[in-house]
Amino acid sequence: MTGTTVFPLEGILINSSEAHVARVSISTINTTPATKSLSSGWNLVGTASLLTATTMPADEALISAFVTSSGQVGYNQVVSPSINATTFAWTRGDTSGIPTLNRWKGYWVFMENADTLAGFSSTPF
Amino acid sequence: MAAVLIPNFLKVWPFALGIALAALVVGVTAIVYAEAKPPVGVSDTFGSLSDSVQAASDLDGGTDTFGTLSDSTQAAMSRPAGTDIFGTLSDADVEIGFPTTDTFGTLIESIGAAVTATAGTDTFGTLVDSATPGLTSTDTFGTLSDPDAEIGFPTTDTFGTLIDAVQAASVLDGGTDTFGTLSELTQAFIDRPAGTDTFGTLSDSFAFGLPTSDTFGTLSDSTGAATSASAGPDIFGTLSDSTTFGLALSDVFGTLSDGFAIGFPTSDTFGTLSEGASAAASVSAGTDTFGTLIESVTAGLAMADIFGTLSDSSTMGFPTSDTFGTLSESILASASVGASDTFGTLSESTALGLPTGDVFGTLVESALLMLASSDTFGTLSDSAGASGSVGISDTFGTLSEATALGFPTGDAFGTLVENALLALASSDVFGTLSDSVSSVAASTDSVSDIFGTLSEAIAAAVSASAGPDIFGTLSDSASPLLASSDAFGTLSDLSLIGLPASDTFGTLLDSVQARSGYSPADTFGALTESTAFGLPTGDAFGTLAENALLALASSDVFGTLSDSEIGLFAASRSVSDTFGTLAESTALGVPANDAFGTLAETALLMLASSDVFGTLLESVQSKIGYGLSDTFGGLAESTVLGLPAGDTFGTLADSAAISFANADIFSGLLDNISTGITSADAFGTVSDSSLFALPSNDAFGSLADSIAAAAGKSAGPETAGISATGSPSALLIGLGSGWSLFSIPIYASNNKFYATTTGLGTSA
Repeated sequence: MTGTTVFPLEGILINSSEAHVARVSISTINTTPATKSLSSGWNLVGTASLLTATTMPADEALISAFVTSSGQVGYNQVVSPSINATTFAWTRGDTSGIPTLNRWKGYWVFMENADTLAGFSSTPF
Repeated sequence: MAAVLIPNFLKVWPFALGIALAALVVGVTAIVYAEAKPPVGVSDTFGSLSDSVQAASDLDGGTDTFGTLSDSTQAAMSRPAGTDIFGTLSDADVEIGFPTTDTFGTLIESIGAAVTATAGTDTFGTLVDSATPGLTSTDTFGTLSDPDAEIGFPTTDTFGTLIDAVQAASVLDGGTDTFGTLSELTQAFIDRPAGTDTFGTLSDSFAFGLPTSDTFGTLSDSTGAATSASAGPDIFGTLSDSTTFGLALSDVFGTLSDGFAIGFPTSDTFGTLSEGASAAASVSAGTDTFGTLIESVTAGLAMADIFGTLSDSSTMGFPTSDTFGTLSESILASASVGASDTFGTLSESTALGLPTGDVFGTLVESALLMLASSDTFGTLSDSAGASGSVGISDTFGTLSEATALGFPTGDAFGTLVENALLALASSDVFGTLSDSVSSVAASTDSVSDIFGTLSEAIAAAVSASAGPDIFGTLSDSASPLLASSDAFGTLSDLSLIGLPASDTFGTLLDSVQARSGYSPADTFGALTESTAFGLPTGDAFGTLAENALLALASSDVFGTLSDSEIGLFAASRSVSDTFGTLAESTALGVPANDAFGTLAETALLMLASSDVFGTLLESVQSKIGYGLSDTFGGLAESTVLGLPAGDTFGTLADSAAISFANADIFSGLLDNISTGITSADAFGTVSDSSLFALPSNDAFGSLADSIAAAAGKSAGPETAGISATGSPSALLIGLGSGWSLFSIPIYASNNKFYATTTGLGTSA
């Protein structure tokens, strides 16, 4: 099959027949931090934190999609599905229990309005 | 009176001597006893008895000691007065009856002593001048000298020296006498079975009848000894000058020289035979041993003889199984029958017709040999022109210079050099063939030959039917057509070889352009420089270096692969290879079941499953697609592997950013390893800032120092970590079976993912 190009901030859901390892070579090209267009509705996203950080608070990881460029509400829900080791559902504005998003993981984000999510990592490393 | 009569009497009947002496002693004793006054008592000590002392020891005196008895002393010790000691008895007319076990310092001048037959074990210092004792058994004499000594030697006497016409006659059953020296006209007759006499020296015109098992120091000068046929193994120190012995069997001689005309019986041992010895060994003789035979020896030798050296015009007829130290100069041996001779050296114009089974140390210069089978040669050199019809299974140490031999099968050669024009048969063994050796091709040549070295323009033509040859070195334009199962030490320089099956090579150097069509199971010590082989399966290589463009088959064994070796990929290649070291830019496509000693520096391997690695060093960037159950001795420094399950590691050190699979075994993890480890791993030691994400069911020997393990996670999709320090070049994603949700945290150069048979793969 033809390959599917995968970028940072993209969440990937895969069903494997057995445990295995995939190898990802870090790009040596000079890049800006990654961005990803989020459509209105549910989006499967990952994190692109600095390599010195393994986790980030959800409100910080999604800060670029907090408000759209037109001033509208961006995301309003974040869900860590049960396929992850840690499961949660967090709604925007709940400051009592802001969850952390782990590097390498994927999460469901509901966008009230389409926007662009910006990451933090860049190459070369 | 007795001194005059007894010699004449002996000439007629020597056996009457004992009887005559006994009668004489009885008469004299009776006279002395009648006149002796006073009688000598027991245990007396006399300083000196002289001048007609007519002592008569008529009682049972014993152990008397006399300093000197001289001048007509007519002592009569007729009783058992044992163990008397006399200093000196001298002058004529001493008519003494010696009892048993007396000790005499010196008896001189016409002593007519007659010891009765019952006396025993007397010791005499010296008996000189016409002493005519009738001695009993086991006497010891220092010296007996001067003519007219007419002594009947009993058994087991010991003589220091017998000189001057001693006409001893051992008439009784004497045995085991020991003589220091017998010289000059000694006419002893030892004709009874008086065995095991020992003589220091016998010289000058002896006419002995030697009994069995005697030992002689030296026999010289016209000794006319006649040994009877029943005599046994005598031992002679030296026989010289016209000795005309009739020797018995199993004698041992130190030296025989000058004009001997000896009939050698069986199993004699000779130190040296020299000068005109015209020995004639009887046909029944066997197994003589000679130290040296020199100059005009014309022996008719029996079988199984051993010679130290034969030289100068020896014209021998060699029987079977002889051993020679050296044969030199014009030896015109004409061996007609015998086999298995051993020669130390044959040199100069040796024209032998040698039978089979001979052993030669060295054959040099114009040796025109008719070689039979199974001979062994140390060296053949200089124009050795052995002709055909020679035997098989010869062994040569060295053949050199213009050797033009017609070798049959089964020969062994140490070295063949320079213009050796060989017609090689099968099963030969060669140490070295060099310089223009032009073997003659023949349909029967060279099955199972062994060569130490073949060099320079060797145009050997080995027939296709030839078998497993072994070569030490082939170099310089050697273009043999080699048979199957050959073994080569070194092939170098423009060797154009068509290699058959199961060959063994030490080294292939410089532009060796082996042809294709080879068989499997070759063994190579080293292949270097531009070797362009098409190798089949089952080969073993010591070293492959520099631009070896190999098409490797399965089950090969490599010592070292280094420098820009670009193995050619092929679908059927290289299962179960073994590598000692792979270094520098090795870009092999290695299938499963390989074993590696060391992989270092930028080795870009395609590793299959079940490989064994000693050490992986420095920037080894293995590609994905590895097999299971690999074993690693150590991974160090920036090793970025994608390892599957079932691997075994000795030590991982320094920034190894590995994504481990299940059931790995680590003896130690050191320094900043931040891995994504799966379940059921076993660790020997984990120390120093190792940042693990450890799943369940792990086993640790030790965890020390700031290890921030995140234990207790359940099995499932795990994530590879990223080192907090250093510069990882790759990330590894560990994914469990079933559904996983993941992302990549940074831009990847191989970010085109695709599905594999088990899960996720990435593009190259």
